[in-house]
Amino acid sequence: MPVRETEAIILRTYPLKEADKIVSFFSRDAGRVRGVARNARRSMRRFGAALELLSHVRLRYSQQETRDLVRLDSCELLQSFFETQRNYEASIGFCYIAEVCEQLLPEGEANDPFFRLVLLVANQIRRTEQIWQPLTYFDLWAVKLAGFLPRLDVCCRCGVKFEPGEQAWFRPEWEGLGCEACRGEGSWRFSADSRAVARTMLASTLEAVPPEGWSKSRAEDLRKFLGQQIERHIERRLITRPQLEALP
Amino acid sequence: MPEYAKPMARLIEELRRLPGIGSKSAQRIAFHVLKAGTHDVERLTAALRDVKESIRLCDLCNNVTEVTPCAYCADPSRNAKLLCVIEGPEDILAIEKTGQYRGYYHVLHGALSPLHGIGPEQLRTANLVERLKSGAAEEVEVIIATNPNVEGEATAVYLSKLLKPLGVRVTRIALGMPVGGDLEYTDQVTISKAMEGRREI
Repeated sequence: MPVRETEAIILRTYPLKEADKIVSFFSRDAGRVRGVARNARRSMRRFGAALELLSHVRLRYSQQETRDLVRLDSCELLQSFFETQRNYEASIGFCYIAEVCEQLLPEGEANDPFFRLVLLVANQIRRTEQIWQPLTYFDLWAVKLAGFLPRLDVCCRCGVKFEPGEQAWFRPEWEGLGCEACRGEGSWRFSADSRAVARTMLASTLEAVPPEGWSKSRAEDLRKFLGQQIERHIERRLITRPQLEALP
Repeated sequence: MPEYAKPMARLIEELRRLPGIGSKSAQRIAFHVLKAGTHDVERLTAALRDVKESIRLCDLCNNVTEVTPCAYCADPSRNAKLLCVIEGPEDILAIEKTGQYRGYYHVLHGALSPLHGIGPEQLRTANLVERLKSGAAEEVEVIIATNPNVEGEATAVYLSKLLKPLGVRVTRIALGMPVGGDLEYTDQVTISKAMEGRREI
């Protein structure tokens, strides 16, 4: 039975039997993997706080070819976001990141840029104690790294290029943004400011985007558009998205 | 499961829906039921029916009970100035086993868990607020004993924000080193929590 050691981010745990847990984790070397942590609910000795949501850990696990679930042998905590998640708003933000990772990342495919993105965003939430700027950055790059970010400077219906400062429109069934002429009934507005935010975030690091002046309303249309793109791609609704939208 | 007779397949399917029961366990239980005597099976079905028909939630604390108020809420010898808030009714037994706590309880029936779609509206906090408002709130200590994980911590912080304006004293159970633990093998979060919650001896 080969034993692997890898850096990983804990995405989710589920109770299994009397005292075990199923752990879904995003490993740096092997992508998204699911495994069993024996006795993790009863004894804190082997896993402690390392299996909490989005914990950055060094994991040792063994894998049998005939089994879907790997066996977690030990877990060393490298970085914890336990304190940050005491805040309900941050806790929803972290759950959202974990849910998007679980739904978007294919099982068993390493994705180092995505791994770095999750750590970067989680650390930014911890540092700034606010979620809207880091989550916007996460949404944008998650969609880009997953390979389905459409062009934000042309109408996906007629191909016309948007003027600087021109607002665009979007609908859940569209693959991109639409222009004024193509919008039709029931489309949502996509502001020119949000297109500028997206441009800046795609061209620079998260640290280069000033965290000041970010309230929920800033780039809300961009997050809604990206959320719809994710849901269209995974063909299901995200559980945590309505909870984020319900935050004051 | 086409290889089983219809009633057997149905029983296995129903058992599989129970928490912690997989296909193999469901089959094992189903075969056990099949082999058991009629009297034993009737006793089991009567117990299942009885639990559904006679058990309800206590109007005061949300504990599962046959009568409301439940045995804990109806006990006048308990300390009315202590109220322990817990996630589930099973936590009452864990605390009672210590023999150290003689106050009252309030069961939330869950903790804030965005991944499971559980927000503040799903927690049973309305009668907790009502209960504190109707008594001498400033004399009461509310002990938040939700689980020491991220969901439990978020719930504790949410509750403290909800309850403090009522004038109650809100405390959190101590987090940190387990008795019989080994400092060398304990993770940094647990040790830092233990350091935060240290006390003079």
